[in-house]
Amino acid sequence: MTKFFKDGGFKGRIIKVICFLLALTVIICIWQYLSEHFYPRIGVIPSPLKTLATVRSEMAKDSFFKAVFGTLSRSIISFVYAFVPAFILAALSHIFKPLKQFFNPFIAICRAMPTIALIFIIILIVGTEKLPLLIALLVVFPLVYENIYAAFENVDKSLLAMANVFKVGRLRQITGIYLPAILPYIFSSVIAGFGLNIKVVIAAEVMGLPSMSIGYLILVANQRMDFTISFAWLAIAVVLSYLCETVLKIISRFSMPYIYPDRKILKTYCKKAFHKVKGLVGAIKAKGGTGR
Amino acid sequence: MIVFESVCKSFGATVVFDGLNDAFEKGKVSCLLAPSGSGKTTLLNMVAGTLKPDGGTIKNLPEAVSYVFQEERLIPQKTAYKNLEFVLKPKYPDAKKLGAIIASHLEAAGLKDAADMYPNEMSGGMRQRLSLIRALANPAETLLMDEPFNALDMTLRAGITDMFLKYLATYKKTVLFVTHDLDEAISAGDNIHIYTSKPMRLIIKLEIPGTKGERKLYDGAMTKFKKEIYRLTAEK
Repeated sequence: MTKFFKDGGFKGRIIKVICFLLALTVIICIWQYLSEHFYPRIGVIPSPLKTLATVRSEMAKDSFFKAVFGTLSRSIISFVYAFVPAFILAALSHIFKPLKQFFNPFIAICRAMPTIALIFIIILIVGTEKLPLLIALLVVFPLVYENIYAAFENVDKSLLAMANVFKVGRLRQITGIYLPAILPYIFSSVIAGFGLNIKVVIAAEVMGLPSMSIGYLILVANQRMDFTISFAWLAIAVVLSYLCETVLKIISRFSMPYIYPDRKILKTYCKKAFHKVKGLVGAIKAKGGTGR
Repeated sequence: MIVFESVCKSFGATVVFDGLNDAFEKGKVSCLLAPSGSGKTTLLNMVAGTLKPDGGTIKNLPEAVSYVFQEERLIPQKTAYKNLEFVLKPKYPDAKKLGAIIASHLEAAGLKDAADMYPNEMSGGMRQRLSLIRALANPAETLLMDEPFNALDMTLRAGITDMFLKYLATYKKTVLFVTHDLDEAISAGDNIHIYTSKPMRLIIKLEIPGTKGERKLYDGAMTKFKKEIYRLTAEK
């Protein structure tokens, strides 16, 4: 128990929660201030309480889950579309270095091109239906490619030499040295890329108008000058993005106990506690048995 | 016997070997003494097969080797147990046997309780011991050791050398042991190869007097032997 408090960063976690709550309070205060001082009559920026009430009323509608599911599924599919080729091409570029030089100009163009310009071009070429998927692919692909390529380049060469000396097979080297080494990069690119992807997908939805999407509902609300609903959906999008990021962070932490040893300590502590409870329950049962 | 015949090796303009001749006896511990940067690691890498000579030949190169590197080279994302398993699993496909071998080696190295620890949770001595047992547990006839105990303090060093000697008493291996520590060489070795600096050349190969494991490092005969080695290295 003492070890958990000492090494497990319990204090650090408390400080983290306090900082988070403090930041949330500051954001709400700024939000409240802006809502009171910028066109309060029209309600361009609705107050936090009003937005919360609207979120609740939106959540009660049938369209809510359909829109959230639509945007989320579009984000996940487009992310996978971007991630898989980026990962494969980064791995190939690591093996055949000239490939990296070949892809550099493409990556530079993808990175530099303004998203809005891309949206117009893609609408003209493929129409609006596949717009969010393609836009996300073009925005996320360079980020993931660069990250994963850097990961492959940073794999410890001395470990590979060790594996070669001990005649460890290629497949085992990939699963035993490459994968654990690039895992933190994979998670960091998934976390950063997915958050960005949700933003881009919503922007593309506003332009591409796929029905049952957050972007579509934001656009409709804006066209009706119903800024409260529009703002409520913005808040929903932020929370959705934050939740996804948090889930991914938790998965990444539990997948890498060597980086986050506190998780290992916590796990051991939980195991011990579980066995204690189990023993206690067993003892109570046994007592009950003899009592009867 | 691993035989180097007129072996040449250069890295750019740097000539490391210019016709190196030497032989390492099978089943013996050969200690390699040479100035820093003379090419001892290159020699070991050639025996390991990771470097090829530019000229000359190396006869009877072993098919498989075990290697204790200067740095531990442990996989940071794997526990002590998993680090050993990574190297040993292809050699011991039977899971029960593998588990027993790993457990016995961890116990011999005093790392039984550290099986679930990651390298970053271990001390330098523990990591080096783990690196040593990884090589010892690997079923290869030849063991290459490249100044493996340099970073350890005197007590740890003595302990690990002891463990190494006990192991060698059980399993006969051909060992090429690079060290700068003459006492360590005398304790663990059967013979000592003394080399010049770059381009590396064998000065002399000396049999260490006495029985391994029973040698007294500071008795008269041994002091004389050491003086002779110091004289030879100073001359060249």
